[in-house]
Amino acid sequence: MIGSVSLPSLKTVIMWLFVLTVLFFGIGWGITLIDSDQHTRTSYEKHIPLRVSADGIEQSALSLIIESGTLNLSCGIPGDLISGDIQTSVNRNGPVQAHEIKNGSSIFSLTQEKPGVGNLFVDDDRWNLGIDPTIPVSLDIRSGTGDVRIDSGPLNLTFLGVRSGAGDVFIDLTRCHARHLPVTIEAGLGDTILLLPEHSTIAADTEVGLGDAEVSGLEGSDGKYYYGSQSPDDPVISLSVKSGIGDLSIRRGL
Amino acid sequence: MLKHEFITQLKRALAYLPESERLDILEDYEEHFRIGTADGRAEEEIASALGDPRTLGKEFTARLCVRKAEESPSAGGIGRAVLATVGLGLFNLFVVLFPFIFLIMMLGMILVTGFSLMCAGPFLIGYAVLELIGVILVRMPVHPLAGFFFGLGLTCSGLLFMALDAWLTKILYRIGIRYLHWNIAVISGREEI
Repeated sequence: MIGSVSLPSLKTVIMWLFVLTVLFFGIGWGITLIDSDQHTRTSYEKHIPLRVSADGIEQSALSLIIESGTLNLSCGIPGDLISGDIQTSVNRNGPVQAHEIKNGSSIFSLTQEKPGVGNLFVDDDRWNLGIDPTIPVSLDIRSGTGDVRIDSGPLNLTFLGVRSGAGDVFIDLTRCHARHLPVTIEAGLGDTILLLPEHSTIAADTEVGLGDAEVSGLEGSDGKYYYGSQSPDDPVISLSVKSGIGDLSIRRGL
Repeated sequence: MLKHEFITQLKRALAYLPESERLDILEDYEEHFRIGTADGRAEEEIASALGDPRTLGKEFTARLCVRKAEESPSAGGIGRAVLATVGLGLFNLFVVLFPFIFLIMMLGMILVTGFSLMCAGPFLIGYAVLELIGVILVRMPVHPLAGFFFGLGLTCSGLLFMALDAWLTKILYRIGIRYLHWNIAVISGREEI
């Protein structure tokens, strides 16, 4: 008893709280069930097409910055510097583009939108992009959380840099035909898999913090590996890989 | 051991007890010596029959701490009672202190879980309301009205966890006190296991 107000016993409080919890969750579930019959909110998805013409571009430096989501990059259509589709579960306008062309050289960047005010839900974008295989491209990718998958195909890469915070990194360079390709990979948390062309000269410098390193088709040890091709026409790949936590796998050939 | 040495050691071992309590106990033991010597027994023999004065002091201290924790329940009181009981023997480290720490951690975890749920609820309610009135354009995975009720449910479940924690604490406190009484009685040889 406090003054003239009597407090309920602990058991009564527990009983009422239990009833209210069941009631509120029940109502919530009920509304969710009714709502799901009308439209599926959980599978909300927005597709944003992306197409940047390659007209007047002789070489390009591409920068892709994705805070959260998956990036699938492959060989695109000749004539389109970069093209593809961005799928987002968040109702926003899509990534911010910046493009500058000077004397045939283009600098293009694609940056994921900043989360809106009060955005409690994690963005889970999927960037499915292709790059013009006829234009020499220096590619710089920065990923916060999410997987990065690159299938270079016959892309004309002059540089490949990947910085990934958390997520797997998969790079297939087996069909790479660049004369000389420096590749820099910095992976924080997640597995890193690199497939390299069978006929190529490769010098690899690797560092793995916590995880296993598996290197096949190259000679060497203690993070330094090398393979010399017989033909001087084969691509030369200089590889620098730093992996924080996660396994590293480098394979030459398939 | 002579009477003087026994009483001095017992006095030292009872240092943490209140003055009146200490004097009562010392008076009792002096009485034992008076009756014993009147019966013609040697002081060494009486002291040996009474036991180790330091162990006796620990038992009296533990008993007092448990009684105090029983009379005026508090976290500090039960903590002191447990520590005093642990002091009675190494074995109590395993049968008193470790279970006590485990229970404290369990109750703490329930409390933290309840508090987290209770705090998460208003966030979800606020978010749902903002989406309902169109302030936030980002969609929730569920209908905002459902989100509103889920938020209320979360708050209630958080409060429920905290209330259950309080109820469990009360029950475990009572059981703990009884267990400590029993433990001291067993150690001092007044009760069979």
